[in-house]
Parts: sequence; structure tokens; C-alpha cells
Amino acid sequence: MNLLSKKRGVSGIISGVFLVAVAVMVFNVLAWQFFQADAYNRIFHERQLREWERYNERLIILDVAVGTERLNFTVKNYGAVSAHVVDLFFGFSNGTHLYYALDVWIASGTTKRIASVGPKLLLSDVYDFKIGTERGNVFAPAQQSIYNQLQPTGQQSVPFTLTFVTDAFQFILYGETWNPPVKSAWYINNPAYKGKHIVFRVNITNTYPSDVVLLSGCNMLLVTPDIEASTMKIGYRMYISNEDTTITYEQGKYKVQPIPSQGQVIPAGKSRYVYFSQTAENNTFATQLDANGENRNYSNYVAIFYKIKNDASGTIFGATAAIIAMQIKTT
Amino acid sequence: MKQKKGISTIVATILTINMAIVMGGIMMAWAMGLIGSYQGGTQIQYMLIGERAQEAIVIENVWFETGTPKKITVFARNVGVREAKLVSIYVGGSSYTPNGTWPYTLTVAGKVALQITYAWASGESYLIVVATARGNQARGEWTP
Repeated sequence: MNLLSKKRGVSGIISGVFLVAVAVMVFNVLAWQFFQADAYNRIFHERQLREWERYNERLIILDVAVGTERLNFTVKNYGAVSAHVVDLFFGFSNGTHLYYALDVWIASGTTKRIASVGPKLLLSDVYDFKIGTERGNVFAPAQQSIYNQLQPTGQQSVPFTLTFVTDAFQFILYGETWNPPVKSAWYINNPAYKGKHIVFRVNITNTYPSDVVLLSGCNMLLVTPDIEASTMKIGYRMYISNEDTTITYEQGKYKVQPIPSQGQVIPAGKSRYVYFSQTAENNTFATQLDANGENRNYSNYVAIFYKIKNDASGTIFGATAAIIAMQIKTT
Repeated sequence: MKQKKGISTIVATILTINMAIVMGGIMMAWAMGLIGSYQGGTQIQYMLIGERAQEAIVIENVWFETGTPKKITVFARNVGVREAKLVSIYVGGSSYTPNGTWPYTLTVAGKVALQITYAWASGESYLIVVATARGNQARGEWTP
């Protein structure tokens, strides 16, 4: 009865109980939401981690052996994560495809030789292959097709190179200059050119890391098999002339400017035109095309005698800069 | 019995308290049901999104095979942490059914070769898509 007489106290308890209940419910809902979001974020974080690992898995295939009975190659892992190689996809040039399972772990920054895997190979086989990792990345060697036939692998450095582009081999006749356009010399076909005096030039690149000096003995030899079928004959022989030389007519002679006594310098790694026309090393007479009409093929040897600039030994070297196939038709 | 007013007051108070408790209980039950229903639906949604995020597939390689008829073999790998149920394979926008078991459940880190009959032409590019039941895809352009 005492309780009943305090009506305010009863309602306060009831409302208090409800208030606490509602507060607990709201808290539970918020807490539940937070934990769900946290779990969701954790899953996505793990996924992003997997994706990061996948994108940072990098392998390179090196040294694919040829002439072997089975596939032999080296794999370098230059990525940030260890790689588990599990697939070998093999494809022959005749369209046959094969699959092999591999189980090779390669730690980051290490190199591993994978030997004697895949199908049995014949020397005549031409094939390509790919390897796949457990993360789903696939890697292939740089070369598109691998020929299993043993081939020479030596490399010889050459001092001079000729780029076989349109402007690399040109000529002018008497009365002409080197101002563009200049005619290409690979294929000369004009009846009006017979008996004309001519200067050739070839664009040669010095592959030395030092400047080189070309000497007066440099020459261009045009050899033709067409004069006599069984014997190669020299068609034209020309010596090096001065840079940018043209043909002048002096006292009844067609002449070119000779190379200076100090020679012609080609800077390290640079390309320069080298001019040929003199009929002998020590004269200035320009080469004249055959006065009769001729249709001939030529093997054009560009021989270079040179010194390395500032070489204390002063050694004179000799090299063939290029062998050019050319035709002259003046009939 | 002379205090009729007092008795009625007691009865009325008890009735009021009972009614308040019952109504409050009903409201609590309703509210809890509402929250439970919301939590259940949201939990399923979170679970589906989470499972989808844990699933990942890639196309490792594609073979364009000559012969009669011409065929395409698609190598798919599971690179996620949950099994993937492959349900669709599309080549050039059209759906195809590969030979063998289909749909195919791809275990974690597992690989499968899906072969379909397709008259491919050399030099043409084909968009190849493999899709899972959870809606993930692996896709790529391949040229025979």
C-alpha cells in the first residue's frame, strides 16, 4: 500500500526499465553494425593484399637452352614476393598445345634453373612456352619462337656499321651538289649517266667509344660477276675523297677534292658520310662511269683504314664497313 | 467496505500497471523483431559481399586449337581464398557451354581447362569472359 501511495515512483521505475532496454537495444544494433563493417573491411583488406602480391609478382625467363631433349630455362624473380610456378603451357609451331604441371618456388631476388621439363623435343622443333604462377600471373620468354636447332651464338663487334636506309648510300654526277634531294645509289638506272663522272658517299657509324680517323687508303671496290660469267671482275675502284666534295672541271680533267692529310674524323658513336671517287689514292681524278651502255650487278666493298684518335700506339686498323649489293644500268 | 474509493484506486492502479507492462512488452517484442529482421537481412548482404570479395579467378592462357571442328581451350585459375563456381563462359559476347562438367566448382588455387567448340579465325581478336555464380569475372582479349 505504501508503494501504491507513491505513484510517481512506480512510473519512474517502469519508464526507467524501458529506457535502459531501449538504450541497450540501440547499443547492440550499433555494436553489431560496427563489427559487421569491421569484418567486411578486413575481408577487403585481405583481398587488396592478395591483389598487391599478384601485381608485384614479376619473373623473367632467361637462357632458354636449345639443342636439348627437354626444356631447360632459367627464371629470375625480380619482384617483391616469392613465386610458386605451377603451370607450363607448351605450344609447337604446328599448332599442338601441351600442358604440364610444375612445382617450383622462387624467392624474391633469386634465380632458379628449371631443367628437363615439358615434352621430348626434336632438333627440328620450333615452339613457344609460358609459365604460370599460383597467383595467376603468366610469363613468357622474350623471343617469340624458339628454334631447338643448335645455332652459332658467338658475337663479333664491328667498328663501323652502315644503316641500310634510303639516304645511307648516295651519289652525284658532275654539275650536281649534295643539296637535297640526293639520289640513292643502290639502283642506278639512267641511260644518260653513261660516261658521267660520279662521286659516291656512304653514311658510316663509328661504334667505338672513341673518335676514329679515316686514312687515305680507304676505298670502295665495285666487283661485278657480269663481265665474265666465270670470273669476278673489278668494275670500279675508288678511294676516299674529302667530305662534301663535288666534281670540278679543271684543265680538261674532272676532279674531286682529296682527303686532307690529317684524315677524316668520325666522332665516337656518330655517323658521318664518307665520300669515294678518286681513281687512285694519290690523285684527284673523279671516277667515270663506263662510256658504253652497261647493265651490271656489283658487290660493293667499303674498306676502311683508320686509327683511333689519341691512341698512343698509333696502330692502323683495317675493316670492311659494308658490302653493298648495287646495280648500274645505263643502256 | 466503507473505503470503496480506496479499493477502486488499487484496482485501477494494478490494471494501469499491467496494461503498461503488456503494452511495453508488445512494443519491445515488435522492436526486437524489427531489429532482428534488419540484422538478418544485412548480415546476409554482408556475407554475400564478403564471399564475393574472397573469390577471384583469372584466365591464365587460351589455346586456339586447329582441327575439325576448331576448338578454344580456356585455362582458368582460382586465385582467391574461396571456392568459385564457374557458371558462364563468353566468347565474343556469346555464351557457350564447355565440354565436361558444367557448371564447374573451382577449388582454392585450383585450375581448370574449359574447352568449347568455336570456329575461330586466325588474326582476329576474341574477348573471352569467364564468370562465376557470385558475379565475379575474368576477361581478356586473345588473338590466335
